[in-house]
Amino acid sequence: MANLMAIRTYATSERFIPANFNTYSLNNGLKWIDTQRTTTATFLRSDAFTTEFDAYRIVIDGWTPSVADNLLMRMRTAGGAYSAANYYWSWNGVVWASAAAITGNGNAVTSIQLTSGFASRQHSVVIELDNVRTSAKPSLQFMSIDTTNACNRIGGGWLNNTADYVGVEVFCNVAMSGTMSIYGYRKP
Amino acid sequence: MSTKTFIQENLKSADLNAYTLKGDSYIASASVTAGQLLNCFNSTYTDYKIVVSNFVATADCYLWFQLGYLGGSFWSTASYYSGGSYQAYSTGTVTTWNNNATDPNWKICAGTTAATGFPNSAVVNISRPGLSNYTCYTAQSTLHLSGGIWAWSHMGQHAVTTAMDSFKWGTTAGAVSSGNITIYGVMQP
Repeated sequence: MANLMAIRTYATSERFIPANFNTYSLNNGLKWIDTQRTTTATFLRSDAFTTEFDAYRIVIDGWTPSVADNLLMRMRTAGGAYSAANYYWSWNGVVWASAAAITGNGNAVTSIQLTSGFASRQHSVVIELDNVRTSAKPSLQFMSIDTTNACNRIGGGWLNNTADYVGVEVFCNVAMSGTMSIYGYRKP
Repeated sequence: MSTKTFIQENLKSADLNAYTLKGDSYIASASVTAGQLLNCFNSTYTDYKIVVSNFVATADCYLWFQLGYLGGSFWSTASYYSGGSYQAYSTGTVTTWNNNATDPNWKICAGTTAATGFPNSAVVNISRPGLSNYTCYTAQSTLHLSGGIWAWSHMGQHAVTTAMDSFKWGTTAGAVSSGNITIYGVMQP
């Protein structure tokens, strides 16, 4: 049976023991790893994946393209971005004005499309990414706001290539602003 | 709650208790071969997040979750409801899917063999399992099988008011080969 971790409640005047602090207070749950920001670049890039985690949450906040464009994503190895046509993805959504269903997909393409947007509008994306430093093929689920199609997106994707992926980048073809934060899911 | 910035000061237990707790707190993890996590739902948390990572099986299958109570009994009647849709990476075609209390569990993600190279994963949010009310879940997961690959979004309900403290998992075909299941509690005041 797995050991269950309780919440540590420190007693008044308790002697400080580093092991308790490390176990219960520092190394706990969803851990912030890295945040990257830009106001002018065409990308947000982080090589923050380590073997400490298998699964990650990536939060992209306020992605704002200077000209209408798509926000794309690629995995990165130590040698740079992996850009071969081995990415697969799909999403579906509902158009806000009409409630009509809308879909999109990419089949053996060079990146994953996370969302699309008009210029000067802010967009949010949440990505759950798995199988990164495990010599397996990465897979992800995502939710995003799409102002081009005026809809929500909920979808997933997969990279049909096994490698030691150390990071991720999101990018578009025009200058953009936004923030990308990466969190790791603690494992034993 | 604000973020505490410690300065040159005596560490106070009250500060540690208040400020070093995280939004999602680690509870436990198990290999998918273990088959269950007992007593992981308790009064500390109301809502939970379960991460299924790098799941591989011995045949094309679904990984299912079943809720448990009293530290080892499991609710195996057809009281589980769920629905959602999955869309093909190759075409974008969306297919709807549902389980109207026909299965004694929730299907969470697909499973397939290592030879296909499609490890599956899922992030599942489970709401109020430890309370005496219906338990609900939302999930995004992969539906990677030897015959195709899809993105899967789904949610559901367990229409039983018994408080649950555990869950177990299994496959609809073949057996579990590898992977991990980790549960986190969502902090509350």
